[in-house]
Amino acid sequence: MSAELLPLLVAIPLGGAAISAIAKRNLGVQRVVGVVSVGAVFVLSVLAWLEADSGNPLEVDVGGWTGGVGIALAIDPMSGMILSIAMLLVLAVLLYAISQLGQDVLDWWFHPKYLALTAGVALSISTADLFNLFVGFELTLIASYTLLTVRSGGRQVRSTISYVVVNLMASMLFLLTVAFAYGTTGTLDLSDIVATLRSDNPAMLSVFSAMTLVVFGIKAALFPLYMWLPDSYPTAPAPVTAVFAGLLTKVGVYAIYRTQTLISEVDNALLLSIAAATMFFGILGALSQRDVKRILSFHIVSQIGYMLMGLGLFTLAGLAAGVAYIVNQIVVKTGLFLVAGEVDAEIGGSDIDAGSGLIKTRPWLAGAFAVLALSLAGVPPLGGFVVKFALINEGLVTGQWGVSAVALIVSVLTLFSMMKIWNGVFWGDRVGEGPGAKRGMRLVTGGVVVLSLLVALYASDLLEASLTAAESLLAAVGGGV
Amino acid sequence: MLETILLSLGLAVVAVVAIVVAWDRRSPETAHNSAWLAGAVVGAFGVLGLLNPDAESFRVEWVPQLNLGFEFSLDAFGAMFLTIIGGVGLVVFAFTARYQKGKAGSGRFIATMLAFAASMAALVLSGDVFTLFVFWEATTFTSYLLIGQHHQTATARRSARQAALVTGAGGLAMLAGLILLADEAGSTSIEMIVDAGPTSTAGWVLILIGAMTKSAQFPFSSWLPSAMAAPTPASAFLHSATMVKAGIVLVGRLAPGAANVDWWAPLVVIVGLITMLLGGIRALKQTDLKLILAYGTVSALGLMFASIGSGIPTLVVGGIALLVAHALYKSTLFLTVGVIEAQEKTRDISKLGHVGRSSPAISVIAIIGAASMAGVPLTLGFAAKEVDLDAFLDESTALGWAVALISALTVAYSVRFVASLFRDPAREGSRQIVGLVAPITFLAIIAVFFGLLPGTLTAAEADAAAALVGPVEPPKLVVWPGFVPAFGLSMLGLVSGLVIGFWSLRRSLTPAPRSHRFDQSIDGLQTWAARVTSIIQNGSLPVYLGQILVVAVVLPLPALVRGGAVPLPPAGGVVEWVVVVFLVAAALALLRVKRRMSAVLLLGAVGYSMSALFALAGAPDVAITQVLVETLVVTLFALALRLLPLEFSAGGGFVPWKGLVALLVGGFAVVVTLVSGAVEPASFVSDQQLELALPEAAGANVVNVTLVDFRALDTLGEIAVLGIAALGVMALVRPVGEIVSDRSFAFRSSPILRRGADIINPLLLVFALYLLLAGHNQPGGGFAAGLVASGWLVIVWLTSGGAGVRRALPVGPAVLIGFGLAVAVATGLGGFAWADGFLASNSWSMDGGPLGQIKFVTPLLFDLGVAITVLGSVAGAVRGLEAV
Amino acid sequence: MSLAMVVAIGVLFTIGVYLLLQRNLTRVLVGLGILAHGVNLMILNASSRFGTAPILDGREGPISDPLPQALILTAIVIAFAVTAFLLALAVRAWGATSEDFVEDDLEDRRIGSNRGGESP
Repeated sequence: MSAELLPLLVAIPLGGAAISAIAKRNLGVQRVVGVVSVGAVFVLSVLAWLEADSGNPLEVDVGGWTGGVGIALAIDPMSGMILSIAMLLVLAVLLYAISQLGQDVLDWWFHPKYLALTAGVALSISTADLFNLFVGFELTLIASYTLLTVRSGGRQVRSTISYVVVNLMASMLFLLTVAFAYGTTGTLDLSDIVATLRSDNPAMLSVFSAMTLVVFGIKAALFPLYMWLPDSYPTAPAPVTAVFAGLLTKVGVYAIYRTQTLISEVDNALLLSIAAATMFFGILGALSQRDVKRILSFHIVSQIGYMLMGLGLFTLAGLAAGVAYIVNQIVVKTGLFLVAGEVDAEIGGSDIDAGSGLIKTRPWLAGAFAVLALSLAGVPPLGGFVVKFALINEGLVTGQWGVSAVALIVSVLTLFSMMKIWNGVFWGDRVGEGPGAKRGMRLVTGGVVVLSLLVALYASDLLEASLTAAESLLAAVGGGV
Repeated sequence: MLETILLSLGLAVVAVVAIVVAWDRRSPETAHNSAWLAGAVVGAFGVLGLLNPDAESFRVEWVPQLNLGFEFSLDAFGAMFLTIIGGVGLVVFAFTARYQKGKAGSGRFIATMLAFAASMAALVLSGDVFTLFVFWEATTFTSYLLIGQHHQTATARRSARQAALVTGAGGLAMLAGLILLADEAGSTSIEMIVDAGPTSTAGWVLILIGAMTKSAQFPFSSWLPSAMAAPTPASAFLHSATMVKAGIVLVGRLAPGAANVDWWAPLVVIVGLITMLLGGIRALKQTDLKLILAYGTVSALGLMFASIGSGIPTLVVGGIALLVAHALYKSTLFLTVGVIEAQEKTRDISKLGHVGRSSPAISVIAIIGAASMAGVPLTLGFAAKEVDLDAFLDESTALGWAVALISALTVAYSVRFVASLFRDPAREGSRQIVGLVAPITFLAIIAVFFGLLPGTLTAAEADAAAALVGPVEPPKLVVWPGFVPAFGLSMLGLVSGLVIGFWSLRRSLTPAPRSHRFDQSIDGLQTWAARVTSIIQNGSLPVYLGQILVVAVVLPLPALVRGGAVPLPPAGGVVEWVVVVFLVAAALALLRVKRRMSAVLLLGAVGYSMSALFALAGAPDVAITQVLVETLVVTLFALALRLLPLEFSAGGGFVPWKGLVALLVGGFAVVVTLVSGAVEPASFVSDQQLELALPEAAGANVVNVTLVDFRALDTLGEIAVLGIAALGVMALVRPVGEIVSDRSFAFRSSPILRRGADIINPLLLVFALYLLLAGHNQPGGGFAAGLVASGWLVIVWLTSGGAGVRRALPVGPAVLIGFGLAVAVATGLGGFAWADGFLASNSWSMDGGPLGQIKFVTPLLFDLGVAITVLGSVAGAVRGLEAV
Repeated sequence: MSLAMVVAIGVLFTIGVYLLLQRNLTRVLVGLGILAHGVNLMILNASSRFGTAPILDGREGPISDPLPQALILTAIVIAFAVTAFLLALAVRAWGATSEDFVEDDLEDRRIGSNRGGESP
């Protein structure tokens, strides 16, 4: 694939959003445009990834302005991999939303918003420019703000307000970082910024490192910056939460991986402490909840700690494990929220009101939950086990006892909180009433479960690809993404 | 060959599981019969164990990078265990076929049992530590499901959870231990690790913990009695004969590798014996037949754990003898309880005193089993215990005595078990269920056979022990050992046990209250988690924001101030100071302001001061845009705030921490500004932009060229943000289908306003057009143009309301937004046609006659898209907010 | 960059943050607006190139750096967009309660008062 086509990753969904907005009430057109656009982006990102993975990273100066005058987009094995898996799930969730009749018709503009989200994610992952990354984030965010309120009940509005205010403030901090970077280096290209600081002003490089860690850490929901997340995610409709849970924090994690490896002077102790605290306090949150979506939302936080652990180890194997962890997590977490959506549809709520007994009426849904939940908890032989094993193995072998111990303990607690859901929702004898999950929803959930099983089956290939991605992360040190 | 066999067995398991599940769905009434199918498959495992073919080990790679793979080998120990799984499994499934009759969920139960059997078989055949771990977890999971078979009851759910948590946690500890040992030994093969003899203390401790949880050793034993919530066949199979021995398999296989770890054997023996003691004592307090057996299992596991886990060859031999005997008698007894429960609908010994006389067949079997459990001569249990006791005596006299004395408790609970069935002289009772008794009879016959001819097991057990610890002396499994010290001790134990056993039955038979310690600690954990969470996650937005801000300041600060003092910048001009003073005054006034609208106006004042500062700094484009945006913001605020009381409600008092955080962030911003000002980069990328703008991008206004050409991708994203925000506003305040009537605003009738609007509106539109066209070379551009055009729209709305707006602008905001965005994207795509890529620009000059040279640049189209999107967005926002 | 600008930046950040930390939604919104101004001023002062407007009409002398200006323009628009959306949210919230307090998250409060409790 030619690098010149990279901007299409953003142009296609934005064009789709435009058409979708014009189509207004014509749901049929909107759906076709949505699926075609996201599908095209998915295909493009896979092509770009394959190209990059075979040793030809793609880079293009948009508009032909070279040397940092314009904006560069780049796909290397790392971004290609994350983007491909992300887009696959964006597509899956879109299909789920379409089949969950009522979600995308509640709002004429579900589709433009969703496509803007797609464009934002694609832009955030593929850009090599700091300010453009800000724009990508904002695009993702505004879409997420508006999607959160698809069904705007009182509680949703309140939690969306918190979400918007926190993220808007984070955006301010991002701009402050941009000002600092431009003021000290005279450029906005991420690798140029780092290269300039490293050669001219190493002390400022640490400042830049800390600033980006905070800014991206808010998006990624690191301790102690995550508190907004469990308050806002659970209130949204299932497909929206699913795509948020699977993707948004991971875009933040991706940005942290990207910048920290570029800076390469990683403060291991700091990162590993944050990782451990994120795992631990996240899971404590999950233990204290009695609502499926809230438990799962705290899991998002807790799991982010594991991804950060991979970075904090900062060995090739550790990074590769972290990258593989991100990939598996995108699949599994999205899947779990899709299951939560079905549970909601079946029993008309998501409270783990002891003993709903869903296993009787929906054994396959119970099975889907079991596969995804056990994968998330890291139980063999599922994909989550392999990636967690890779992480903890590396942690123990490199002598990082503390964080490895926390990782193991949190695994047990994760298992516990998953059992809480299982015991409360799937086991029991009462079956609640709800409209029931639509056929399309079931198919998509099933598809995601199969995908998570494929992760386990092809775990070796996943790790191989993650290793290439980790190498590309480290190779980027010293300029030229 | 092993590969082929195991593969076929695995496929058979999968096939049968599928059949069982399908059967259950088709015909739940007959699904219990599918147990025969499952039994056949499990029996095949047993046959494999019996035949014990001389087979090569094999390995299937899974994730070679991590040394994860499936490696299996069949040695004598594995074969012995496989035989137990197969034999006991077959009987249990035969039992299940009748036991599950008429019960719901048979298919689920049978399928899970079969999956467990396969996992357990794989576990004992594992030749690689990580393979072992995979199946270890599989047994944990299947055990969870089986304990929760009757998930309608809270007890079953809690018990399942307890078992899974304890063994799951132990499993992960073990995983860490395995990783450490494998790392030290440089191999993941069990054989290689044992050969290497790693010494990592942490590794061995963690493995011990894992084994202790799975085999219910003190202090991790409480899950096993709770697990009795499982249906009896599962208890017989998992929680006595097989799964609980997985921990013993683990330590048995690895212990020889701990030869260099001097604390290993003593610790394992102590743990095992303590468990044996405590299990025995607790068994005596139980009034539930099944719980007597469960604590008995804990006790017996303790002795096996001590024997096999020690890695001392003679003890291992004795332990294996015990293991075989235990599997046989304990499953017999469990199934007996299953029959009694099925007949009598209770397991409470205070209500079962008649069973011994009313159900003679059962009572005979119970006596046979209990005799073996107690170690009465002529039973296999006796022969095995003699061997083990002998080994302990060899090791140390004190140990031998300890084992013998604790064994008295085993005798005692065996007595309690049997005698409780004969307390009532009545002979009437429920009818015996033949289908259930038959399979147990088979087990009992085998038990009798081996009890009378224990020697037939000598070779197999010696081989099994040899597979673990190398060549050993074969066990002296005999009916009559002669008057050796061990025999004397046994008899001593037997007699004192009899006394204790009968004495225990004389005491009150009211059931001991079930211990809820584990559940309480789990609830305690959750309460603690909730307390911690409520502190860090207190739901208050200001606290969240403050927290983030403090981190944002504190994290970069040390590196930021490391450079030391920075030079202060020049003071700045007088005009600049005047504007800044005004700005600061307006901002400070915001702190005290009482009325909402005044706050908004002050915000506007700050904004206008900002644009003055921009103008002074040579940024006319920004200044213009700032003025326009600020005006719009004030308008939108005014629209929104009309819903609220004029004044802020009380309660906005000064909060010290908020002030502190504010000062901290303010100071931080100053430091960042000063420090970054002190660093002068070698070059700014904008130097190139200034050079390229005219010759390459055909534009004199470099800011505009940057926006629509150099960094047009930013702008594309930006207008998308704007458009989506507007769509969000519209969707939010106007639910689908709701038609909003125009509200009457009094000032609309004002003729002066109307006349003024008539004059100003065309001017605004012309001005907007000018800004758009001139923007590339003069201050202006698409955004400013769009905003000015929006001003026109706002005035139309002010004078003639929503209807007027719809007249003036027949297309809706969403269509405008979409259209503008489409134009911008299309211009970007056009770059592929008229230049060499997305958003690449081109320009054409043509002779415009009297107008001179007219230069057309493609970014103008892009800017048009920007302008349209802005117009649509503002229209959408105004409409949305008006419609409330 | 001048001292006047630095003072303005410091004051805008301080007051912006203080208002942002209030419970009153109107104040929060105004605070965000003020904070945005502070950030924009910071971007403007990031470059050391100051002079006349970056419009290439043949004038001599120093020219102001165009790039921060372009960034500020983009930032202004984005902040405007988000503010407009927040306003709409606020209106929606007010419609229900007729008060503009940012309440605490109910679920968190419940967990805080309930302290977990027993599990199924």
